[in-house]
Amino acid sequence: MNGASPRTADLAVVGAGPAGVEAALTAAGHGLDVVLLDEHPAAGGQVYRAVPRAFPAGGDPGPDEAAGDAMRRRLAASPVEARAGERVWSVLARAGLITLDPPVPEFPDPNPKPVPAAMREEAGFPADDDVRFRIDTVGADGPRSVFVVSLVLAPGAVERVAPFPGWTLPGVIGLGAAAVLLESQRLLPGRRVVVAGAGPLVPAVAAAIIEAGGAVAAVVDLAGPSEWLRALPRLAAMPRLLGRGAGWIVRIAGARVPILFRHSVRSAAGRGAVEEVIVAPVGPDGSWRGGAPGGGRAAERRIEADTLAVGHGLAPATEIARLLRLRHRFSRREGGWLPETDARGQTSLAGCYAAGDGAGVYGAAAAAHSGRIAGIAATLDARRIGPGVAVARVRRARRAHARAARFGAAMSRLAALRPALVASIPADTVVCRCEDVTRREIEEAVAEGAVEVNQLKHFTRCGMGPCQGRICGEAAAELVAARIASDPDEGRRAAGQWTGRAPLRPVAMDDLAGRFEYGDIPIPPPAPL
Amino acid sequence: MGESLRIGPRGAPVVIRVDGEPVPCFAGESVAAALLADGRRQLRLSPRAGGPRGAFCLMGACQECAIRIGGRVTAACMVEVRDGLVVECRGASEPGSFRSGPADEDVDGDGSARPVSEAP
Repeated sequence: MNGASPRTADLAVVGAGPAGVEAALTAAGHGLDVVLLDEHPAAGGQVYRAVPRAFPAGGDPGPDEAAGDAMRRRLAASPVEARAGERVWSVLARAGLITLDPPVPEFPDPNPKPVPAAMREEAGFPADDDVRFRIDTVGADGPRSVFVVSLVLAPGAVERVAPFPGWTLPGVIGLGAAAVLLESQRLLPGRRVVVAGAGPLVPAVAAAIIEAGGAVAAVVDLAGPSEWLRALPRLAAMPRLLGRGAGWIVRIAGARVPILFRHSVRSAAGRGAVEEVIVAPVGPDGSWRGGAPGGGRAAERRIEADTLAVGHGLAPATEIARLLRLRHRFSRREGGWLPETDARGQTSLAGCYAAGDGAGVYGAAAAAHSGRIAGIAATLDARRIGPGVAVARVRRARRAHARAARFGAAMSRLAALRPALVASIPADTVVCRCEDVTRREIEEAVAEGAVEVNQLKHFTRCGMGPCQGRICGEAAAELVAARIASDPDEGRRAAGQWTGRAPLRPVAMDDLAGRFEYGDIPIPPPAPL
Repeated sequence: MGESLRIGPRGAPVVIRVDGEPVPCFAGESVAAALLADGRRQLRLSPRAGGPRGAFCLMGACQECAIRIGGRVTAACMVEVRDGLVVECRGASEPGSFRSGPADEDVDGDGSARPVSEAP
């Protein structure tokens, strides 16, 4: 049925950001046969996102564009089979794989266990002792499958946006979306933009708009100057990045854009699209100062704008990890739920590694190191290096990772989800954008017994739409958590995660079926009477 | 529509058709970016409440910009423009349509709909 015949490889890497590319390059450098998959048209991930191929080179590339171009050149010169524009919609682990039950040893048995022959044939797995994973993709060449010994998950993160009235209006976009428009599409996100939320993307996006000649109406930062100052010593670990941050602030201040620290977006409004944004001061936990909406009107500000770019940090993208039923842990300061990993990035499933922001949000520099670690581990799986060499290399890479992660951790902490941000969502505000499910409906469902996010989904359709819970998941889980436990983190652990399901992305049935003739459809022999 | 939102060198000019109207844009742009640059921010209505929706994440995660492109519902941020591409600002399901619109065939004769295998 599939258009092309299945391909086997030593390693598949899902996600071609800094983590995925480094994992692929490291393994391929040791002679492994590596397939690198990404749904975007070029490698780079969101941080080093490529300018469209049809665009001519435009003057002086920024530091991210230059870093991305350098990475793409190294990839192109490598033997890695990089398949851009291929969307992973299913990942299967062969039955009988070893689940590493806690405690995870620092270096579990490096040699993959052969899988019993009886289990090989399921799901079309080839008769190869070492093959453990099947990845199904769809792209320009139709549906394809790749069977691999080792798998590195480097899916990156999804941007979290805490809902507020009007956040579904056209003209409200994520900070990541604004960055894509500015850096890759060479487009201003709007004529007059309010840039709001938490973390380093707030000043980065505002500065990029100003640099491109656009108008920023205001910068609205959940954090106060004291929080940024407290992060400084850790940021000093990466002086180059710290310098870039300082450059953003200089640019914003130079353009005389008002910076509202410790403020948050209360609502966005307009006829058919954003016309104005209401902001108000918040406390350190993100709660409204001066009480609930309506109580503190005096402090509210109305800002005219046609666009609101807003984001509240990044959360690891765990779709594949959940689909594989990997063991996860909840860590608010690392972005939320993330797959548990050991020292070499191995998850709870032997041969499956997680790297980059998808395994904890530590930023691009740290992601590259964690990718290298996973690449070394996969090389060990393929027996191209011995355990002794692998351990030494992993240790070295981990030291470099730890340095970079100090910077990333400080940034992540600034952007960690503040529970009060979700607690202040008005009852009739839509939380699940796909299915128009409001906070009231979510809380009614919890009151009726939906004390876990999958029950919530069954009760309300929250998280059941085409985004598959990627956008509303954090807020919905936080709302459930607040109703079932007094401690927010304890509540999140009890509320759990959406169960991962294929297809991981919306795909058309005829794309999956591919082209076939009627005679190609296998007809099973009739059952014996 | 005032000054352009476009800020850098781009590919060759191309024209797509949006709800029957020609919309000029440039090779390399995503459909979502081309529509934004043309001042079209509302892309569809939400299926339950019928609220206006536009592009949101621009990286293929949220599906808010999933509209009919070449007769197939696709995230507009993940498709590059090409000459003659037919775009309808209408989602997979909108109020009153009960989760289906007209058949996703080659309604516009642009050849974008995929061939479907036929029974003998």
